[in-house]
Amino acid sequence: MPSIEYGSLKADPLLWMDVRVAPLPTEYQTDSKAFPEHRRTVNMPVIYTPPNRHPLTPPEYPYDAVCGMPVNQYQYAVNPHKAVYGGYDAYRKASTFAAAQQAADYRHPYMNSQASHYPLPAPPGLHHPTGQFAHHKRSSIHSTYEDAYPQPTRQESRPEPPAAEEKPTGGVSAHLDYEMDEMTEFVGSVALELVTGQPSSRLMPSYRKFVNQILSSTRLPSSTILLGMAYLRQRMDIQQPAAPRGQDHVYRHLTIALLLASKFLDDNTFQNKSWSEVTSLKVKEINELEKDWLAAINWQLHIDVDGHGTFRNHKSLWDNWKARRAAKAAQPILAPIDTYRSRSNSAYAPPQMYTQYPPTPVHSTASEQAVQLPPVRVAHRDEGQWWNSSDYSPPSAPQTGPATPEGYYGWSAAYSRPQQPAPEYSRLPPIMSTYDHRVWPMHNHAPINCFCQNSDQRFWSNVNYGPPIAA
Amino acid sequence: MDSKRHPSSFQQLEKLGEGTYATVFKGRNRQTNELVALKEIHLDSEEGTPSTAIREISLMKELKHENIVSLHDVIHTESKLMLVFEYMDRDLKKYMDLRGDRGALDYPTIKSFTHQLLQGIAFCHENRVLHRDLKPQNLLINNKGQLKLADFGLARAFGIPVNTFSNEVVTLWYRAPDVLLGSRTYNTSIDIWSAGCIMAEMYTGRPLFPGTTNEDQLQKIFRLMGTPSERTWPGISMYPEYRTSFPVYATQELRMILPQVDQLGLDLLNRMLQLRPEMRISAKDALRHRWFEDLPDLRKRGMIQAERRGPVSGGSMGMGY
Repeated sequence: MPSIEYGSLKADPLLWMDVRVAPLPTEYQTDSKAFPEHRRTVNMPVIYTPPNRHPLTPPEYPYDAVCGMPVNQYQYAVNPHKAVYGGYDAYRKASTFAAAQQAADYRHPYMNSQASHYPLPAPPGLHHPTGQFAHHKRSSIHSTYEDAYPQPTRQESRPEPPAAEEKPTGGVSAHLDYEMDEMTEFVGSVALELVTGQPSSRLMPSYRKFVNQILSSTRLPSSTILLGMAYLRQRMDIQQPAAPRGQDHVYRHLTIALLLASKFLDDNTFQNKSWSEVTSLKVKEINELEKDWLAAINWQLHIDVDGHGTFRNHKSLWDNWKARRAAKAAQPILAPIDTYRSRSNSAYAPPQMYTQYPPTPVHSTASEQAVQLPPVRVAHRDEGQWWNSSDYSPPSAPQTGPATPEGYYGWSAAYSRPQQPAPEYSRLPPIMSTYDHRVWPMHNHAPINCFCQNSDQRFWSNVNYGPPIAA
Repeated sequence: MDSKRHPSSFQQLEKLGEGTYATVFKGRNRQTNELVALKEIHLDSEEGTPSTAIREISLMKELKHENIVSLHDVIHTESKLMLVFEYMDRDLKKYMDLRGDRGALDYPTIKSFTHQLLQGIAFCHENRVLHRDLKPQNLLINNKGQLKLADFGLARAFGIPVNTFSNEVVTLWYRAPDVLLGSRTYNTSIDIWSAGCIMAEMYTGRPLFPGTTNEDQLQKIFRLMGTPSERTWPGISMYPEYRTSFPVYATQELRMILPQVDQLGLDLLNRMLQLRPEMRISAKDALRHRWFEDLPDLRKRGMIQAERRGPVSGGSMGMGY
């Protein structure tokens, strides 16, 4: 097998092993009827109990990128009755409902008990599929299926099955066959180099966070991710139409690569709207990008597993990566940085909130332990390059649209622009989409790094993924 | 394939079928006058390109075989996705209703169709594709007596190790027992089970295992094939849907319910309808089964009714595409 390289990354064919993933829990639900004719993409249901794994940043994704708030409860708060997805039988719907209901019910005491820690509920946008409700089913990333629901009487009549019987649905794995941090680094590095052509020894935290957000929200199986990397490479190899290769295109390329891999390989897939919520790219833009990509590759997603630069190569790269990490683990060169330091200088930031959280590791070399974290500041929406040298994904000011320029739909727009030198700080997709402050009136008590000051703003955009992605 | 082609390149004729996912029209290529089937998939702005369409297109583009419906073109507009397929006259279900004796087909036609079905399956499997929804409605027949696999919306590539196989695949009546038992590690053998069910159905005109629920489906299978146990199927108790409370049935002879099938045919059927997936015959081996030995001769003598020329009236093709 030919080996491929990304900078210092080498695929060692000898390291390749068959990917055998952890056995999955299965569930006992049965169909009451023949498989429905309409076997559509389900509106990504994510219902399972997260296993006990390595210590999580509680609640798994501890704060949203903007407000330092837990992000999981939103959907239940907004409309628990919509936490449904199509194509499933009544029992499943019932249990889904029960789950959503329980989660919804659970939310209130949770929120109350956390009131001192969390002065406001979570903003919408990123719904992490895994839960902080360790023994409650989680519902989907988002739920738009409009199924009319029976009232929750079934909840009592049908006790929730034990966790072991939970079904990990499709693109979402209950048991990840990788370490999220490791995979984030890997995907971030490979994607960056594939797109820009320049190897990078480390990733800017904001970019890293973007990658992490996608991966931890979708919980794609490693095979899907690696296939996505193969797609990305395939796409970058195509000369006509050539893909834009700027740093700020990495986000979009990576998103579409993973989206297509998931749609091709996983049995349950996300709607583009979910990808939009995770990436803050507009749905319309994602649709366009997806369409352009499919046309560019002439729909060739069924790629040769063993071909050069395809799945197996990337699998090998990944194995190699993990092996190197394991070797380094004894004497870590990369040290985590306590990100809360960036926040702790706020009067609003309840310190105890952070003490509960293991620091989010931001990879950096040990010598750079004292990496400058961004001062907390209020950004004004009119500020152009408000970005400062630190890169802690500051949220945007109220009323700023997503960093994506208005009317930026698809590559066509990007292509039509004259080639510009990569901006010093690329302005990249915000990580959160819209935020309805009226739903969260408590938002006035936002922790420091929530910059939304005007609770009358219906929409605001949030994190501006603008920093350079490679250091 | 000209991706620049516009929907207006095709004259839209009558509707052939409609589903939640797509609408199929008969169409005519304005330039060549060639008849086509136009499968129109509405694009939802939130969903993006449906994964079913993504799979169907990407897989069928690679599966060029005389027993697989040919995908001529894909026209991707903002609001819809139009797949242009070769035109086929009807699906096997309709063919059986139309040409069969109360649904039952003549023996040479069954042999021809089964052979073509297995050829299509073998080609899919060689190309690392599981069809996962084989049933008479998804097998299309033309007036030349050709049978082609269609509807790859549920198909899936294999070869890349994955952990997310869904067990909600294949229309219940044609679903393999291992899938019914909750397997998520099934493989090509699930298509063979479906093929066996279809072969039997061509003989009788009725589905072999018309179950109503997962449990009922298993029970109908066990009633004929015998209830498996750890002794007859080591490891069966590991399947999530396995119950020690399954009613225990003795194995029946296939020929008791399919007396019209000859000995060799029963042997092939038996090999396709093995409860244990690893015991099921592969498509490639099935094609070499002795039952097919006289197929060239039958064909030469013009015994295959389906291959006799002459228009067949009535019966539209349905949603097989």
